[in-house]
Amino acid sequence: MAKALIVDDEADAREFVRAILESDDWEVEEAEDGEAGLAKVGETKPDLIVLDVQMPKKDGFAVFGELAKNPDARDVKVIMLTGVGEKMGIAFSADDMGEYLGKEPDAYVEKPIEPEAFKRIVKKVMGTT
Amino acid sequence: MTADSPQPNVPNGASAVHTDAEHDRQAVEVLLSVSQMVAGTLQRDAVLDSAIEAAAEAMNAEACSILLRDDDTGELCFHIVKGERTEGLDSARVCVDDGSIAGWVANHAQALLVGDAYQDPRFNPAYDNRTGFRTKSVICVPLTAKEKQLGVIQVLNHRDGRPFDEADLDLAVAVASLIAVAIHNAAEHEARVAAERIATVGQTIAGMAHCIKNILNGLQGGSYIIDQNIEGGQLPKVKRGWDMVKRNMGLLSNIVLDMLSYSKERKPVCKACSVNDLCRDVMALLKEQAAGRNVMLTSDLNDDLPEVELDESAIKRCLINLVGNAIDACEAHKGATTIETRPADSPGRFILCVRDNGCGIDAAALKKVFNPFFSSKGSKGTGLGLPVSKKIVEEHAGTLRVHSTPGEGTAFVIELPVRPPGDRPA
Repeated sequence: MAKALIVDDEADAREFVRAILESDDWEVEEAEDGEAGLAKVGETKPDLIVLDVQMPKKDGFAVFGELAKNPDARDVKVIMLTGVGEKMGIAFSADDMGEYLGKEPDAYVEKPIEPEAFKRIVKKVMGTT
Repeated sequence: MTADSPQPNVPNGASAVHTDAEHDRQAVEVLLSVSQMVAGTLQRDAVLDSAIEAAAEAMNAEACSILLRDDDTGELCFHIVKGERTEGLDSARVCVDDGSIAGWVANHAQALLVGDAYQDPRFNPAYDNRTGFRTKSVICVPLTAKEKQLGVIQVLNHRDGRPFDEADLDLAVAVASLIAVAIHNAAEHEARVAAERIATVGQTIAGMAHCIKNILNGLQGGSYIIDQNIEGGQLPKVKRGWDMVKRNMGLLSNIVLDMLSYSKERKPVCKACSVNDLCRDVMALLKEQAAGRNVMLTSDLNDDLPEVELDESAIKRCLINLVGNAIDACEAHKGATTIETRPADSPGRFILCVRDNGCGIDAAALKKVFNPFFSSKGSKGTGLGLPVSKKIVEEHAGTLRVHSTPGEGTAFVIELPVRPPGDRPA
């Protein structure tokens, strides 16, 4: 069974993503902030990380940056959750992010999450469509 | 103008000159005094209060009233009256087409001097009948500023018992123009303040949108979980989904109410209530939030507090913000938040205090804590809770102060009057 790690400071957001992934037979772990998330990556070795951008102390970008440098996490797929994007009328450039982070996340998903669309994106990212 | 105005007494040439100069000097003094009285404030109601005092004094009149035009309906209505018999008049609406001196003056945009009211076909005795006042002579002048008619001002019955005369009319016209300008300035000031508030809300819609999106995410999440589990009858999971929906509906409600509170001028609608009961209500509302973080929520309510007059829903909003903040500031599993009430040191006032033993607020943040959209809560904070609370307390003529020690805790102290000040008799 594929393993996913959700990193988000909002309990409701974590529960929502958990419900979506579990309905597609994922095994789900949670972390409520960036530091805990990075620690859990080492412990559980997930196949997929769903990472919220806006978190206190260490935000999603900082976590992603550290993941990118971690050789153990090289093959892990990362989907970033953002509150900013087209739904808010803001053009979000993946190129800018790629430049900023040195590596691009595998996908961006804007909140509020649409469950069916999210499932499609997960399948695409995992190469299982 | 009317046929009734008497001629001023002019015995001989020299006295006539002396009387005129004396009269002019007096007129200037009166105008100066009126000008100072009405220009002293930009608050519309205070301007109207000062204006009526100033006009009655300047014209030496028994009674005085200001009628303003309703922007929406065009109706003239009594906004403020002063005089010996005014019950029943405070909110009377006078139709501009009505047979009345005020209506005529407004319609014709012309000042009017009526020496004997009951002899003038335009005079309407209905208001005298309502109040028992006996109108003898009247001066009525339109209030016009920047080419816009705001309403009219009326003075009734010279205190010396004589009818008003042309000189009085001239003075009244000058007084009216000062008053009109003051009312206009106050209205402009109010409009500017309101626009600034709305602009502030508009400017940071982007910042708030993030918070709102998280809430929408919560609502979607709860609905999804319910959908996934309702067919299969998985009640515990359905309940979790429903709790998520309820929780986020509460958060959304708070944001919307705060935004509405913040962007409008609102006069508190004060009614008798028990402060301690209000505190208990708020505690019941926030019990789950505290339990969710394992934070203790207690109260220390003073039984000696008298019954007070407050806008209950507004003060409740204020308390919900303060207590909610306190619970969030407390460390999970260790924190404690307390609501206290007690009489204040100054008579006729009482204290409402929300205390926590959380992380405290550092000196730099303490200066900004009441600024709109300043929040230390990340995606959870809208930054409106404290400015709204302060606004509500100040609208009650109270004060909201904060004391904090980083690492030890914070106390927000509200001091309010037991009764709203300035209860004006009708």
